[in-house]
Amino acid sequence: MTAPTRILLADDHALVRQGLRLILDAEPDLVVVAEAADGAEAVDAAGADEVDLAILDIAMPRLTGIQAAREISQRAPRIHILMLSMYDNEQYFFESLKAGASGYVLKSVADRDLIEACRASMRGEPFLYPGAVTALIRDYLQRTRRAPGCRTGS
Amino acid sequence: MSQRTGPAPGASAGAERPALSLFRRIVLINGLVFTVGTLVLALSPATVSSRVRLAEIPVLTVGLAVILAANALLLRRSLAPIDALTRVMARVDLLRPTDRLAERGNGDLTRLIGTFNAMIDRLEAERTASSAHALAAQEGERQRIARELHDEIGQSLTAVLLALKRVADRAPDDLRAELRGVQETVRSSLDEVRQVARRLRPGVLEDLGLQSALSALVAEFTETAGVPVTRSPSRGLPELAPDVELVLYRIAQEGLTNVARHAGAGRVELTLDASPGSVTLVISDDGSGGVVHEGAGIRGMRERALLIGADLGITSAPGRGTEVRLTVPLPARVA
Ligand SMILES: Nc1ncnc2c1ncn2[C@@H]1O[C@H](COP(=O)(O)OP(=O)(O)O)[C@@H](O)[C@H]1O
Ligand SMILES: [Mg+2]
Repeated sequence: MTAPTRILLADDHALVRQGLRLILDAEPDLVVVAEAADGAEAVDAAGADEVDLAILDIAMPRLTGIQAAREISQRAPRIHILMLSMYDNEQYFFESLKAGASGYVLKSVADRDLIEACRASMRGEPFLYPGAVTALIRDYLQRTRRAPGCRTGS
Repeated sequence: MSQRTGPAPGASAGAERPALSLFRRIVLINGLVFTVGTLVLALSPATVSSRVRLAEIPVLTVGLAVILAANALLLRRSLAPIDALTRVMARVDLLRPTDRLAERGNGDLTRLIGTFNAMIDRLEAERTASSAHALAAQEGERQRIARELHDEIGQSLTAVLLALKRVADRAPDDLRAELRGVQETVRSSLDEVRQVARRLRPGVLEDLGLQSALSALVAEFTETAGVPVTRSPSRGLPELAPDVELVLYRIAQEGLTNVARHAGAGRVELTLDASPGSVTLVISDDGSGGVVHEGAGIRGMRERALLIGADLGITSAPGRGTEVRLTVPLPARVA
């Protein structure tokens, strides 16, 4: 059996963090090794080089989850990043992808989906919520329709 | 505002009170007419017997009529601007920049008109300031409530949901089904809280800017109203101040809400475009049109537009759809 995935857990709400930690630690292949209460703490903790996966809440003080993700994926591209969010908003989702996250889990289904998202992330697969897939397809279609034959990147 | 409550510039110290000068003018006109009458009586061959003779009565009547007519004519000419003033007073709407009465005509009324115009200027300034104040307070309060909903209740519900999962995982089978039901209830409460918070305050506006916020608004509108929205891409949009972005967002939001509630439209178009010196937001639908009375929603749009010195135009012919157009002037700037 391989070593369990070492997780950095960042959420500014202590009760949520505790709930997440209990769920994650209950799985044999996952272990929370660090916690952070804001984005800046998360960036610091990720620098310690003993983390495989960072789970970042989008809305955090000091640095937001997206800003923290951007920092972490620049400094330690080896670390997989999962965003955790209250918003099923495609704009946050797109920004998260740009910042280097590979998955986006809604808090309202975290109890159901988080474990699976962690595993997918470690396998190098994306994890999206259902609405995000629709948004991606719509965005893709709009881009191809608007600029036939060429790709619009930003 | 306090420095504006002093006397209007037109009524500077030493100037006469309009009532007094109007009184003088009327006395003067009457005096003039009476003097002419007296002179005519004194210098013309016409006389009146001590007991008025029958033949003299028509002459007297005509004389009186001439005096009255002259008096009426002169007074009327003199007081005509009051009519114009009354019409402007009836027309004044502080939510639309008013036309002002030209300060001409005879001397004393000019001052009255000047004072009136100054009053309108002052009222408009005060109106703008106080609605700015009210709107800022309202936005602040919404933001606070949204944040509390989101950060307190939303997070607590999330914590409950996570704890419930742990309990459900370890519960005996007969309890588990029931616990799953509770989990789903908590989940839908969480969704509701999130939706309410988002309507109160678009967090995405602050976090990701106007373009993303409008996209999110359009996506939500399409989903709930089931009407497709064409959103033309905005080109060359300059950096906008946060208060301008908020006004643009709120007006787009109210515009779309109205389309959903009243228009019965099959298509909606939302564009935000920049031209040199201004930014224009247009929300147009192909619905029933014919906006006649303006309710709280449209008044709110006008108030917000005034706040940033923007111009709001609503074109809405019956059966031809509605177009809401907001033009925001931009301060000249060296890029
Ligand atoms: N897009 C529209 N299409 C048709 N009618 C509209 C539209 N927008 C507004 N109206 C009409 O104008 C009225 C005033 O709108 P508003 O000031 O927003 O108040 P409210 O929406 O609360 O009724 C509405 O009651 C409706 O009759
Ligand atoms: Mg309305």
